[in-house]
Amino acid sequence: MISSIIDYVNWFAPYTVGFFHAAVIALEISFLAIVISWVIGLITTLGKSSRSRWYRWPAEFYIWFVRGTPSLIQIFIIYFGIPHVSGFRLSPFVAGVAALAISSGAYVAEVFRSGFLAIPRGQTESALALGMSPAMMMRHIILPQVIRIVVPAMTNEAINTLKNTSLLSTITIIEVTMFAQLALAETFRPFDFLIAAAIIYLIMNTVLSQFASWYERKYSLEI
Amino acid sequence: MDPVASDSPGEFTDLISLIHLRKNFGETVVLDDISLSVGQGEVLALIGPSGSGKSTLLRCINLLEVPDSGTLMLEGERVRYDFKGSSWRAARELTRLRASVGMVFQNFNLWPHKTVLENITEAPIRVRRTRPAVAREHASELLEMIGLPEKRDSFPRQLSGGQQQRVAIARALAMEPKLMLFDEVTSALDPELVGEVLDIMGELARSGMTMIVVTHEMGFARHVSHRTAFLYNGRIEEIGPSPDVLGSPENAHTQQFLNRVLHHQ
Repeated sequence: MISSIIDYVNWFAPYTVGFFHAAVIALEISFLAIVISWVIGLITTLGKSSRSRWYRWPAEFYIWFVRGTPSLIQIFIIYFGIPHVSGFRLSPFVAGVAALAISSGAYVAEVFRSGFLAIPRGQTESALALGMSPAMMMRHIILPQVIRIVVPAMTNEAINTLKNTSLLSTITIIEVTMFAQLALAETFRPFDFLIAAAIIYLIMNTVLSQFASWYERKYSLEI
Repeated sequence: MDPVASDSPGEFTDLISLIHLRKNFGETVVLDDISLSVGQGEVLALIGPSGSGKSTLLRCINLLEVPDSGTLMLEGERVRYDFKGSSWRAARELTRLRASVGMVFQNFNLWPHKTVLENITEAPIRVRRTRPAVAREHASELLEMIGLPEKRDSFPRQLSGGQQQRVAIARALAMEPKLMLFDEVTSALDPELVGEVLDIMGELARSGMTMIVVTHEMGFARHVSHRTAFLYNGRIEEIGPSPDVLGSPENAHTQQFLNRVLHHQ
């Protein structure tokens, strides 16, 4: 029994380094995509709540398009489609980050919007009445409160982005799913490698959500 | 309470004047040709039925609502509000006005993510660019004044409504305003907490602060404010020394309103 476990570990060991590198790639891409999606989301939500239609329409179009199309199609458009018409080719890594950020930014925008709607009007008025400029008020009074409100929904979205890195296996990025596929093609043992991939996603997402709930507790506005 | 109200309104030099101010919300006339001056150190109470335009009048003074027409004068200088769009000149003018006009709201509107001390020091540090140490020093004095020095590191949610409203008053005073606007500041409080807020406002009045107070507290209007104005359908129907307006009103609407209010208190 023990020897068979040792045999199994010895058999699997050569693949751990590959899985590790694949996980690092997935983390790098999702970290960048998540941070960029916050920027895109914030700009989009400000655009959408603007009084000027020149800001509002592009924001609405973006949300409408991204939410209405599959992420995989968006990835293909960016990696295969755009180079075909423009001749401008992105590396798989850059295309992957861009596609995931754009794909997530639309949802992030809606999450931010619900956060802004949850802030009572009086918060804005008391800041303005004290002479703060709109930018000052946004940065020091409104945004800090919005961020506290949206943490749970933002965590969901970050987890989605992390899992969506698996879609990037289709554009030759060797992330976790791609590595599992390569390994099982070589060994014909799908169960072992797919379970290994699942466990890696679980670990990454568990760490992510633990961090989010720690942050939520630390900055909670509740008693 | 010391009846400062006996002073005659004539002795004040004008701090703020509204001249022919008008404001509509769509088709509804909210303020209909309001002209009004408040002198340095004077306390004016604004009373009237709900929907009569009291709050809107107050909010026009610090331009939280922009009047449709009319003139707003602060210390003899005309305040511009007719800027198109959001130019930096408009922003500077607004900051200048609002930094010298403090406002306290019905629902306190303290910032929940900041401590009591931070609530008070935020605007002086950011808007007035006061050094943080100086702002904190001043905030401590204000906390002493409102009787809450031990709450400086508490968050608003840990305070009672009355305490929150006292902090909101301190927050407005931290900007060292020339004029204080009070918008039904005791209406959201439990009855037993009203007194502590009114006491501070009374103290403030006696210290010579210029105040415009929208209130349903007729006792406060009578004993603290020098003059009382009665608003009805967006017009000032009666204005005069508080004892006269509240004691022997001449206008039929004022009489009706006071009858209704006083018989329910």
